[in-house]
Amino acid sequence: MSAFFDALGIVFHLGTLLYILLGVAWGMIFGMIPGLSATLAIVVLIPITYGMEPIVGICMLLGVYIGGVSGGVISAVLLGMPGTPSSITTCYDGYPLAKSGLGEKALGIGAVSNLIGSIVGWIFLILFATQLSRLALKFGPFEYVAIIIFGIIAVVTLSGDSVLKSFLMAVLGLFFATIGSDPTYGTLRNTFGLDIISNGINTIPAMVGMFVIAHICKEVQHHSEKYALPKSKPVKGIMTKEEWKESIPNFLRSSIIGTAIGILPGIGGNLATFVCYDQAKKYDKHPETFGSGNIQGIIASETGNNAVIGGALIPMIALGIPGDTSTAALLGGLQIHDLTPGPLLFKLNPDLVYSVFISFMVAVVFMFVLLMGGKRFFPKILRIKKAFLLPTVLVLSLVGCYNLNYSMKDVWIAVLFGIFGYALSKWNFPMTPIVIGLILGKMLEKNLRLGLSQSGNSLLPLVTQPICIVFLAATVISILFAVKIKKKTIEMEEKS
Amino acid sequence: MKKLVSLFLTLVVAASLTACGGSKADESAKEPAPVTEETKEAETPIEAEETSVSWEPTQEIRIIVCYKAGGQSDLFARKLAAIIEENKFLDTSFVVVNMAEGNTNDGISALMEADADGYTLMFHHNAFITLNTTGAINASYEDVDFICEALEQPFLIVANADSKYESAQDIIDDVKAGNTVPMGYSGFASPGHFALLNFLYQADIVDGIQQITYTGGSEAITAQLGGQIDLRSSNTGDSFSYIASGDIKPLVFMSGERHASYPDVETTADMGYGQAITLRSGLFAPKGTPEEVKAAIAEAVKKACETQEWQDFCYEQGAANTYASGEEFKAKFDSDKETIDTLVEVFAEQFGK
Repeated sequence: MSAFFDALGIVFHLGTLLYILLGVAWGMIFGMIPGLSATLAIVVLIPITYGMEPIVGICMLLGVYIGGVSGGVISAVLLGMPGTPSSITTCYDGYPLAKSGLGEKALGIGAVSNLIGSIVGWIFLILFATQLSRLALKFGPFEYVAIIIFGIIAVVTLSGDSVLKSFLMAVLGLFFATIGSDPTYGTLRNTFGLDIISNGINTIPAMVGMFVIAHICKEVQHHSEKYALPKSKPVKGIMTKEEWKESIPNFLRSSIIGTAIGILPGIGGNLATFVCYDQAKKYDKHPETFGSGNIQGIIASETGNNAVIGGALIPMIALGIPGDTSTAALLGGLQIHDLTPGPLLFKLNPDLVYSVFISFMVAVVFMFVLLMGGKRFFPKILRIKKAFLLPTVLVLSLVGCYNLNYSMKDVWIAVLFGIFGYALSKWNFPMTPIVIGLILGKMLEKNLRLGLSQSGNSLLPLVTQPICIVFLAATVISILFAVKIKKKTIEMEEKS
Repeated sequence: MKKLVSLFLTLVVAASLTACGGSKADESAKEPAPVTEETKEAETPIEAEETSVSWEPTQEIRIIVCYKAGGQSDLFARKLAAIIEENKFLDTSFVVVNMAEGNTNDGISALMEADADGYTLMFHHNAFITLNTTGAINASYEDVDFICEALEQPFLIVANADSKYESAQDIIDDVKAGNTVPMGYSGFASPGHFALLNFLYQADIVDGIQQITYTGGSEAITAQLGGQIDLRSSNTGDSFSYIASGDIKPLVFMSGERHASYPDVETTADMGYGQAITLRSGLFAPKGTPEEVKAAIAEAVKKACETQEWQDFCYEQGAANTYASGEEFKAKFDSDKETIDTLVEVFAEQFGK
């Protein structure tokens, strides 16, 4: 127990609190700018934490993680461009709200969603880390395949008007994922002899291309509008009482989905937000309003991606296995500070673990305060003329792409995807399925091949193992639901 | 006109940002590297005794790591750089740059294209040999200069805590009895893979083992802890903390000496097998780097390896701190290459040869 009080003493020291605040702010800046991610924010800061006490350094890095994931909401809402892949779904409803002058409200909702998602993830972390992490180990490669199939179908059924178009785009995304090095053997394939894609297509440049560059092109087309955003109406409070009540199931559901997906090592936040958004849409009374400013969309997306944080920390703290790329960087940070992650972390360094638990909440509070405090000012700040704002975002995003691997290839890929994305939007093809195919494709292939290798080339476990059956059943239900919604929409259209 | 100007300015900014080759990472980790009057004066008497001028860096040194941030190589590179900086073994700052793409190709190419002035180095290990021999990369270690070796890490075979295998001999016996035994490892054509292949070759169980390839250490750990595989060949970083927690047990170390942390666990040398493949990591420089530059850096690394901080870090990571000079390092690489060449022939099918 004394370790707990030691931890309190360490965290609630003015210096530590200041570092955590700085970390959160730093993370939020990275999270805000498309092309720069929470993972990068952590990696860049690690050397700077050398001179600090190990635990203080880790608390700061944790703050960066939380800020990094949460910052994405700002650009998603106010610019319509995702700061990180986990904020893509926030753009769908956040941006239309900002366009109708409700930017401040959308940011407020985003802040609250971040808060609630983080808290729920945190509760699972502090109460059930050990048990949940051992449970997560039961998920083998075939289980991952089942989950990923569920995720892809979820996205295909939710995007756009035409399921066929979404499906085609998802398949295209899966194809893009096969370009580059074979995940197991490292041999090059599908590069068509082109050097640019010899490293494959990374998620972030593709995302920057399709969601930032293509978006900027579209904005430039409306050059009669000087400002990207209309003036934001000030809002009292965050939501009305009815809206709060309506949102409770969404908050709960999205938090749990986010935490659950975060716990599974390797999958990460990107899938979580799509599944949360999809589920929120399916359970909503008016699913057709998703994508034009339904606050439930923002709630699902932002709650989900913050719940992932708590989830991803579970295998990291309990087993020393990273839940996503940011926790992998955090693990590196732990080791640099001579703290050995692993199952014995709690036993050998209880003060560290307690400090992580406590500073997590501190960072979440700071994040919430920064967002709530800033929500009135961010729209004002971003009300710069499009002519100045958009090129700045463009340059920063491209620099972020270069910074991934110090390679111009990623910058060119972003540009190419920008042109591609612009063309797609002109022909009304949805872009989300491509991103999801790209992100999940690599994982799908890796796990499928690993599973086959372990089972002696048999696909049987995919349909006989219990967890697999659950997710495959969920996929089928998801498809049926989507068909139902589609029928309803057609009926409503026929009536009018 | 206004539009043209803003477009032009954007292009200029974008071009300059990408052309300078710097990055936010460089900027934020930068520290001034002053060479004061006093230092110069204090060094003159010692300098006079040396036959060659001791090289002093005047700008930041970039260390390329061909793997992602948070990985083992990254960790050791950063630790080494931090120790050298803190103790001023070299009066400059370091920045570690991760170039994980292209299966180490990008990192190695970046090193080879850099100026041979000592300001760009690479922290890498004998994957350089294995990937080249199997054809995954074209560059060979003959294309770069060796500065020095900084550490060695043995590989070991670990089994689940409740595994029926108590020793390596149990595995061999099981195979000889006609069973196929699955064994996991991470990193196709990596030194860890070859350490395993070497063991299989030496134990004459080449055909009886079903090799299961994992992409990274975490994946392999997860699979073993989750009960999907029983046996795994691993490096120390991906196993020690789990041995300590009792989740897995070490069966044999593929090395010549008993490991300081686990002196009761036998080694392949105990079993009568010859040279094992261990992970040897060190610093490399572009070909043609001047001797005094290499000597100065090697000297700094040597002092860093002697610090308590490095020794403790290596111990915790299960590594053996083995500083060796550039020539010795290269000689070890040459010896490893012979073994690896043989193994590629033995396992020709696997490597598509």
